[in-house]
Amino acid sequence: MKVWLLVLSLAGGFAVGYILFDRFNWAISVEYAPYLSVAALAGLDTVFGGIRAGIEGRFQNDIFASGFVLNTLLAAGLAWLGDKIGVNLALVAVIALGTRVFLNLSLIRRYYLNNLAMARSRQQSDNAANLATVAQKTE
Amino acid sequence: MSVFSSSINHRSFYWQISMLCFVLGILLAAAWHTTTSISRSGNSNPRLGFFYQSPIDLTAKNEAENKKNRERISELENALAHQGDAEKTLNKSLQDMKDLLAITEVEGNGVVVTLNDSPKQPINPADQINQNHLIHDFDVANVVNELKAAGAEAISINGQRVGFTSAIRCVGPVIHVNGQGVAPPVTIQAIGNPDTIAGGLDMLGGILEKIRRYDPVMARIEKRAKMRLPAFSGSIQFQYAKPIRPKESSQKESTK
Repeated sequence: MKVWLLVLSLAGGFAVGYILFDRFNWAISVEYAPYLSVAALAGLDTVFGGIRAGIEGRFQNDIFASGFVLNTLLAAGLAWLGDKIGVNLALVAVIALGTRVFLNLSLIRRYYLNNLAMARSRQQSDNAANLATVAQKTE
Repeated sequence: MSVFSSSINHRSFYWQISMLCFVLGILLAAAWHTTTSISRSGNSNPRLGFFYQSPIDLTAKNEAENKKNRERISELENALAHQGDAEKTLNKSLQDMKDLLAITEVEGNGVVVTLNDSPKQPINPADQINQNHLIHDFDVANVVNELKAAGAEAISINGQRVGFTSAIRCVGPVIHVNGQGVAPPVTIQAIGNPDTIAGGLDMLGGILEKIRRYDPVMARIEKRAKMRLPAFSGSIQFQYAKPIRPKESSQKESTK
Protein backbone atom coordinates (compact mmCIF):
# COMPACT_ATOMS: atom_id res chain seq x y z
CA MET A 1 0.00 0.00 0.00
CA LYS A 2 1.09 3.54 -0.70
CA VAL A 3 0.82 4.66 2.92
CA TRP A 4 3.55 2.19 3.85
CA LEU A 5 5.88 3.97 1.46
CA LEU A 6 5.52 7.13 3.56
CA VAL A 7 5.99 5.31 6.86
CA LEU A 8 8.93 3.37 5.52
CA SER A 9 10.79 6.42 4.18
CA LEU A 10 10.12 8.32 7.42
CA ALA A 11 11.48 5.44 9.47
CA GLY A 12 14.43 5.10 7.09
CA GLY A 13 15.26 8.79 7.36
CA PHE A 14 14.97 8.64 11.12
CA ALA A 15 17.26 5.61 11.31
CA VAL A 16 19.86 7.14 8.98
CA GLY A 17 19.77 10.47 10.84
CA TYR A 18 19.98 8.88 14.27
CA ILE A 19 22.87 6.60 13.29
CA LEU A 20 24.74 9.52 11.71
CA PHE A 21 24.27 11.70 14.80
CA ASP A 22 25.23 8.87 17.12
CA ARG A 23 28.21 7.62 15.14
CA PHE A 24 29.87 10.95 14.44
CA ASN A 25 28.78 12.39 17.77
CA TRP A 26 27.30 15.47 16.14
CA ALA A 27 25.67 17.71 18.66
CA ILE A 28 23.56 20.79 18.35
CA SER A 29 24.16 23.36 21.06
CA VAL A 30 21.66 23.34 23.93
CA GLU A 31 20.31 26.76 23.12
CA TYR A 32 19.46 25.81 19.52
CA ALA A 33 17.70 22.53 20.40
CA PRO A 34 14.20 24.08 20.74
CA TYR A 35 14.47 25.68 17.28
CA LEU A 36 15.32 22.30 15.79
CA SER A 37 12.25 20.76 17.41
CA VAL A 38 10.04 23.55 16.06
CA ALA A 39 11.57 23.03 12.59
CA ALA A 40 10.80 19.30 12.79
CA LEU A 41 7.20 20.09 13.73
CA ALA A 42 6.92 22.45 10.74
CA GLY A 43 8.18 19.66 8.48
CA LEU A 44 5.60 17.30 9.94
CA ASP A 45 2.86 19.87 9.28
CA THR A 46 3.94 20.28 5.64
CA VAL A 47 3.97 16.52 5.03
CA PHE A 48 0.46 16.06 6.44
CA GLY A 49 -0.73 19.09 4.45
CA GLY A 50 0.78 17.52 1.33
CA ILE A 51 -0.97 14.21 1.91
CA ARG A 52 -4.27 15.99 2.41
CA ALA A 53 -3.79 18.04 -0.75
CA GLY A 54 -2.90 14.89 -2.68
CA ILE A 55 -6.04 13.14 -1.48
CA GLU A 56 -8.14 16.15 -2.45
CA GLY A 57 -6.50 16.10 -5.89
CA ARG A 58 -4.84 19.51 -5.70
CA PHE A 59 -1.28 18.45 -4.92
CA GLN A 60 1.40 20.60 -6.57
CA ASN A 61 4.97 19.47 -6.17
CA ASP A 62 6.55 22.96 -6.32
CA ILE A 63 4.25 24.32 -3.64
CA PHE A 64 4.87 21.28 -1.49
CA ALA A 65 8.70 21.28 -1.80
CA SER A 66 9.05 25.04 -1.29
CA GLY A 67 6.59 24.89 1.60
CA PHE A 68 8.63 22.19 3.29
CA VAL A 69 11.90 24.10 3.09
CA LEU A 70 10.51 27.56 3.82
CA ASN A 71 8.16 26.51 6.63
CA THR A 72 10.97 24.68 8.42
CA LEU A 73 13.38 27.59 8.14
CA LEU A 74 10.71 30.17 8.94
CA ALA A 75 9.45 28.33 12.03
CA ALA A 76 12.97 27.97 13.42
CA GLY A 77 13.86 31.55 12.44
CA LEU A 78 10.72 33.01 14.01
CA ALA A 79 11.31 31.08 17.22
CA TRP A 80 14.88 32.40 17.31
CA LEU A 81 13.72 35.95 16.64
CA GLY A 82 11.10 35.60 19.38
CA ASP A 83 13.78 34.62 21.87
CA LYS A 84 15.87 37.63 20.84
CA ILE A 85 13.03 40.11 21.34
CA GLY A 86 11.65 38.43 24.45
CA VAL A 87 8.40 36.97 23.03
CA ASN A 88 7.91 33.22 23.11
CA LEU A 89 7.20 32.73 19.41
CA ALA A 90 8.28 29.08 19.64
CA LEU A 91 5.13 28.39 21.66
CA VAL A 92 3.01 30.22 19.08
CA ALA A 93 4.55 28.14 16.28
CA VAL A 94 3.92 24.92 18.23
CA ILE A 95 0.24 25.82 18.76
CA ALA A 96 -0.38 26.98 15.18
CA LEU A 97 1.42 24.04 13.56
CA GLY A 98 0.01 21.52 16.02
CA THR A 99 -3.56 22.64 15.30
CA ARG A 100 -2.97 22.26 11.57
CA VAL A 101 -1.43 18.82 11.98
CA PHE A 102 -4.47 17.62 13.91
CA LEU A 103 -6.89 19.18 11.41
CA ASN A 104 -5.13 17.57 8.45
CA LEU A 105 -4.94 14.22 10.23
CA SER A 106 -8.69 14.27 10.91
CA LEU A 107 -9.44 15.09 7.26
CA ILE A 108 -7.15 12.30 6.03
CA ARG A 109 -8.80 9.86 8.41
CA ARG A 110 -12.27 10.93 7.24
CA TYR A 111 -11.26 10.38 3.62
CA TYR A 112 -10.00 6.85 4.30
CA LEU A 113 -13.07 5.92 6.33
CA ASN A 114 -15.31 7.25 3.52
CA ASN A 115 -13.42 5.16 0.98
CA LEU A 116 -13.73 2.10 3.19
CA ALA A 117 -17.48 2.60 3.61
CA MET A 118 -17.92 3.12 -0.14
CA ALA A 119 -15.95 -0.04 -0.92
CA ARG A 120 -18.04 -2.00 1.56
CA SER A 121 -21.37 -0.81 0.14
CA ARG A 122 -20.15 -1.55 -3.41
CA GLN A 123 -19.21 -5.07 -2.32
CA GLN A 124 -22.62 -5.54 -0.75
CA SER A 125 -24.40 -4.44 -3.91
CA ASP A 126 -22.11 -6.75 -5.94
CA ASN A 127 -22.98 -9.62 -3.64
CA ALA A 128 -26.67 -8.84 -3.99
CA ALA A 129 -26.30 -8.77 -7.79
CA ASN A 130 -24.44 -12.08 -7.73
CA LEU A 131 -27.14 -13.63 -5.59
CA ALA A 132 -29.76 -12.38 -8.00
CA THR A 133 -27.97 -13.91 -11.04
CA VAL A 134 -27.48 -17.19 -9.18
CA ALA A 135 -31.17 -17.19 -8.29
CA GLN A 136 -32.09 -16.52 -11.92
CA LYS A 137 -29.86 -19.39 -13.13
CA THR A 138 -31.31 -21.86 -10.65
CA GLU A 139 -34.76 -20.91 -11.79
CA MET B 1 5.93 23.09 -16.58
CA SER B 2 2.18 22.84 -16.43
CA VAL B 3 2.21 19.67 -18.51
CA PHE B 4 4.92 18.17 -16.38
CA SER B 5 3.21 18.93 -13.11
CA SER B 6 -0.21 17.86 -14.29
CA SER B 7 1.12 14.58 -15.61
CA ILE B 8 2.94 13.81 -12.41
CA ASN B 9 0.30 15.12 -10.03
CA HIS B 10 -2.10 12.34 -9.36
CA ARG B 11 0.03 9.35 -10.07
CA SER B 12 2.96 9.90 -7.75
CA PHE B 13 2.35 12.46 -5.10
CA TYR B 14 3.08 9.69 -2.62
CA TRP B 15 6.56 9.31 -4.07
CA GLN B 16 7.32 12.99 -3.70
CA ILE B 17 5.98 13.18 -0.18
CA SER B 18 7.99 10.06 0.63
CA MET B 19 11.19 11.71 -0.49
CA LEU B 20 10.59 14.67 1.81
CA CYS B 21 9.47 12.25 4.51
CA PHE B 22 13.01 10.93 4.41
CA VAL B 23 14.37 14.42 5.03
CA LEU B 24 11.78 14.94 7.75
CA GLY B 25 12.93 11.69 9.33
CA ILE B 26 16.49 12.98 9.51
CA LEU B 27 15.23 16.25 11.00
CA LEU B 28 13.20 14.39 13.61
CA ALA B 29 16.18 12.19 14.41
CA ALA B 30 18.34 15.28 14.92
CA ALA B 31 15.78 16.84 17.28
CA TRP B 32 15.30 13.54 19.09
CA HIS B 33 19.03 12.88 19.47
CA THR B 34 19.76 16.39 20.70
CA THR B 35 16.91 16.40 23.20
CA THR B 36 17.79 12.97 24.61
CA SER B 37 21.49 13.79 24.85
CA ILE B 38 20.64 17.00 26.72
CA SER B 39 18.41 15.17 29.17
CA ARG B 40 21.04 12.46 29.52
CA SER B 41 23.87 14.83 30.38
CA GLY B 42 21.49 17.18 32.23
CA ASN B 43 22.07 20.88 32.67
CA SER B 44 22.04 20.80 36.45
CA ASN B 45 24.33 17.82 36.89
CA PRO B 46 26.52 17.18 33.85
CA ARG B 47 28.87 14.98 35.87
CA LEU B 48 26.34 12.22 36.37
CA GLY B 49 26.93 10.67 32.96
CA PHE B 50 30.65 10.58 33.64
CA PHE B 51 30.17 8.57 36.81
CA TYR B 52 27.66 6.19 35.27
CA GLN B 53 30.23 5.36 32.64
CA SER B 54 32.53 3.11 34.61
CA PRO B 55 31.58 1.97 38.10
CA ILE B 56 33.54 -1.22 37.43
CA ASP B 57 36.64 0.73 36.48
CA LEU B 58 36.33 2.78 39.64
CA THR B 59 35.98 -0.32 41.80
CA ALA B 60 38.97 -1.91 40.14
CA LYS B 61 40.94 1.28 40.68
CA ASN B 62 39.98 1.40 44.36
CA GLU B 63 40.97 -2.20 44.82
CA ALA B 64 44.32 -1.60 43.15
CA GLU B 65 44.86 1.41 45.40
CA ASN B 66 43.99 -0.58 48.49
CA LYS B 67 46.41 -3.27 47.44
CA LYS B 68 49.13 -0.70 46.92
CA ASN B 69 48.43 0.85 50.32
CA ARG B 70 48.56 -2.52 51.99
CA GLU B 71 51.86 -3.30 50.31
CA ARG B 72 53.08 0.05 51.50
CA ILE B 73 52.12 -0.75 55.09
CA SER B 74 53.92 -4.07 54.94
CA GLU B 75 56.92 -2.32 53.43
CA LEU B 76 56.96 0.11 56.35
CA GLU B 77 56.55 -2.68 58.83
CA ASN B 78 59.40 -4.59 57.25
CA ALA B 79 61.55 -1.48 57.40
CA LEU B 80 60.79 -1.12 61.10
CA ALA B 81 61.80 -4.70 61.60
CA HIS B 82 65.09 -4.27 59.76
CA GLN B 83 66.25 -0.89 61.02
CA GLY B 84 68.64 -0.38 58.09
CA ASP B 85 65.93 0.39 55.50
CA ALA B 86 63.94 2.67 57.80
CA GLU B 87 65.55 5.91 56.72
CA LYS B 88 65.11 5.19 53.05
CA THR B 89 61.46 4.21 53.44
CA LEU B 90 60.63 7.19 55.63
CA ASN B 91 62.24 9.48 53.11
CA LYS B 92 60.21 7.95 50.30
CA SER B 93 56.92 8.41 52.15
CA LEU B 94 57.94 11.98 52.96
CA GLN B 95 58.52 12.63 49.26
CA ASP B 96 55.12 11.13 48.44
CA MET B 97 53.49 13.46 50.96
CA LYS B 98 55.22 16.43 49.39
CA ASP B 99 53.95 15.41 45.95
CA LEU B 100 50.39 15.20 47.28
CA LEU B 101 50.72 18.67 48.83
CA ALA B 102 51.69 20.00 45.39
CA ILE B 103 54.93 21.45 46.77
CA THR B 104 57.06 19.66 44.20
CA GLU B 105 57.37 20.27 40.47
CA VAL B 106 55.59 17.71 38.32
CA GLU B 107 55.45 16.88 34.64
CA GLY B 108 53.13 14.84 32.46
CA ASN B 109 50.53 14.87 29.69
CA GLY B 110 47.46 17.00 29.96
CA VAL B 111 45.43 19.88 28.70
CA VAL B 112 45.96 23.63 28.41
CA VAL B 113 42.87 25.81 28.68
CA THR B 114 43.29 29.42 27.61
CA LEU B 115 40.65 31.93 28.69
CA ASN B 116 40.77 35.40 27.23
CA ASP B 117 38.64 38.52 27.11
CA SER B 118 36.57 39.05 24.00
CA PRO B 119 37.32 42.05 21.77
CA LYS B 120 33.59 42.36 21.02
CA GLN B 121 31.90 45.08 23.06
CA PRO B 122 28.60 43.99 24.66
CA ILE B 123 25.45 45.36 23.01
CA ASN B 124 22.83 43.35 24.88
CA PRO B 125 21.93 45.01 28.25
CA ALA B 126 22.23 41.68 30.09
CA ASP B 127 25.74 41.22 28.69
CA GLN B 128 26.62 44.78 29.69
CA ILE B 129 25.44 44.32 33.27
CA ASN B 130 27.20 40.98 33.70
CA GLN B 131 30.30 42.11 31.76
CA ASN B 132 30.11 38.88 29.77
CA HIS B 133 32.92 39.91 27.44
CA LEU B 134 35.46 39.62 30.29
CA ILE B 135 36.96 36.58 31.98
CA HIS B 136 35.96 36.65 35.63
CA ASP B 137 37.32 34.95 38.73
CA PHE B 138 34.33 32.57 38.78
CA ASP B 139 35.05 31.49 35.20
CA VAL B 140 38.55 30.44 36.26
CA ALA B 141 37.22 28.83 39.46
CA ASN B 142 34.57 26.93 37.52
CA VAL B 143 37.14 25.64 35.03
CA VAL B 144 39.44 24.53 37.86
CA ASN B 145 36.49 22.82 39.56
CA GLU B 146 35.60 21.03 36.33
CA LEU B 147 39.24 20.00 35.84
CA LYS B 148 39.34 18.46 39.31
CA ALA B 149 36.06 16.66 38.71
CA ALA B 150 37.45 15.26 35.43
CA GLY B 151 40.43 13.80 37.28
CA ALA B 152 43.18 16.38 36.84
CA GLU B 153 46.09 15.57 39.17
CA ALA B 154 47.97 18.86 39.03
CA ILE B 155 46.71 22.29 38.00
CA SER B 156 48.44 25.61 37.55
CA ILE B 157 47.06 29.02 36.57
CA ASN B 158 49.48 31.36 34.80
CA GLY B 159 52.36 29.65 36.63
CA GLN B 160 50.59 29.57 40.01
CA ARG B 161 50.19 25.97 41.14
CA VAL B 162 46.80 25.21 42.66
CA GLY B 163 47.36 23.71 46.12
CA PHE B 164 44.67 22.67 48.57
CA THR B 165 44.69 26.09 50.22
CA SER B 166 44.61 28.03 46.95
CA ALA B 167 41.86 30.59 46.52
CA ILE B 168 40.74 32.15 43.24
CA ARG B 169 39.12 35.52 43.78
CA CYS B 170 38.32 38.82 42.17
CA VAL B 171 40.36 41.86 43.19
CA GLY B 172 39.23 44.73 41.00
CA PRO B 173 40.52 44.34 37.46
CA VAL B 174 42.72 41.32 38.26
CA ILE B 175 42.15 37.82 39.54
CA HIS B 176 44.12 36.66 42.54
CA VAL B 177 45.43 33.10 42.70
CA ASN B 178 47.49 32.23 45.80
CA GLY B 179 47.50 35.95 46.53
CA GLN B 180 49.29 36.69 43.25
CA GLY B 181 47.68 38.81 40.54
CA VAL B 182 46.71 37.05 37.34
CA ALA B 183 45.29 38.83 34.27
CA PRO B 184 43.80 37.52 31.02
CA PRO B 185 44.85 35.67 28.94
CA VAL B 186 44.58 33.10 31.72
CA THR B 187 46.43 29.91 30.87
CA ILE B 188 45.31 26.95 32.95
CA GLN B 189 47.52 23.88 32.69
CA ALA B 190 46.23 20.57 33.99
CA ILE B 191 47.94 17.19 34.11
CA GLY B 192 45.69 14.17 33.74
CA ASN B 193 44.04 12.06 31.06
CA PRO B 194 43.78 14.59 28.18
CA ASP B 195 40.72 13.00 26.54
CA THR B 196 38.72 12.74 29.78
CA ILE B 197 39.53 16.32 30.75
CA ALA B 198 38.79 17.76 27.31
CA GLY B 199 35.53 15.78 27.21
CA GLY B 200 34.49 17.08 30.62
CA LEU B 201 35.16 20.67 29.63
CA ASP B 202 33.48 20.41 26.23
CA MET B 203 30.32 18.76 27.59
CA LEU B 204 26.95 20.05 26.38
CA GLY B 205 25.77 22.68 28.82
CA GLY B 206 29.21 22.62 30.41
CA ILE B 207 31.40 25.39 31.72
CA LEU B 208 33.13 26.34 28.49
CA GLU B 209 29.89 26.39 26.51
CA LYS B 210 28.57 29.08 28.86
CA ILE B 211 31.72 31.14 28.30
CA ARG B 212 31.75 30.53 24.55
CA ARG B 213 28.12 31.58 24.23
CA TYR B 214 29.21 35.22 24.20
CA ASP B 215 32.22 34.71 21.92
CA PRO B 216 33.78 31.37 20.92
CA VAL B 217 37.23 32.97 20.98
CA MET B 218 37.12 33.33 24.76
CA ALA B 219 37.93 29.70 25.62
CA ARG B 220 40.40 27.40 23.88
CA ILE B 221 41.42 23.84 24.78
CA GLU B 222 44.67 22.23 23.69
CA LYS B 223 45.90 18.75 24.52
CA ARG B 224 49.62 18.74 25.21
CA ALA B 225 52.24 16.14 26.03
CA LYS B 226 55.01 16.64 28.59
CA MET B 227 54.10 19.76 30.47
CA ARG B 228 56.07 20.95 33.46
CA LEU B 229 54.09 22.49 36.31
CA PRO B 230 55.75 24.57 39.03
CA ALA B 231 55.52 23.83 42.75
CA PHE B 232 52.95 25.45 45.03
CA SER B 233 54.57 28.58 46.39
CA GLY B 234 52.18 29.59 49.18
CA SER B 235 52.66 28.64 52.79
CA ILE B 236 50.94 25.66 54.33
CA GLN B 237 50.83 25.99 58.10
CA PHE B 238 48.22 24.97 60.59
CA GLN B 239 47.42 27.46 63.32
CA TYR B 240 44.01 26.27 64.42
CA ALA B 241 43.61 22.73 63.14
CA LYS B 242 45.13 20.25 65.58
CA PRO B 243 45.92 16.92 63.98
CA ILE B 244 44.67 13.86 65.83
CA ARG B 245 47.12 11.00 65.76
CA PRO B 246 45.70 7.54 66.33
CA LYS B 247 48.64 6.55 68.58
CA GLU B 248 48.27 9.52 70.95
CA SER B 249 44.55 9.03 71.41
CA SER B 250 45.02 5.36 72.25
CA GLN B 251 47.74 6.29 74.74
CA LYS B 252 45.46 8.82 76.41
CA GLU B 253 42.72 6.29 76.74
CA SER B 254 45.12 3.75 78.18
CA THR B 255 46.45 6.26 80.77
CA LYS B 256 42.95 6.98 81.97
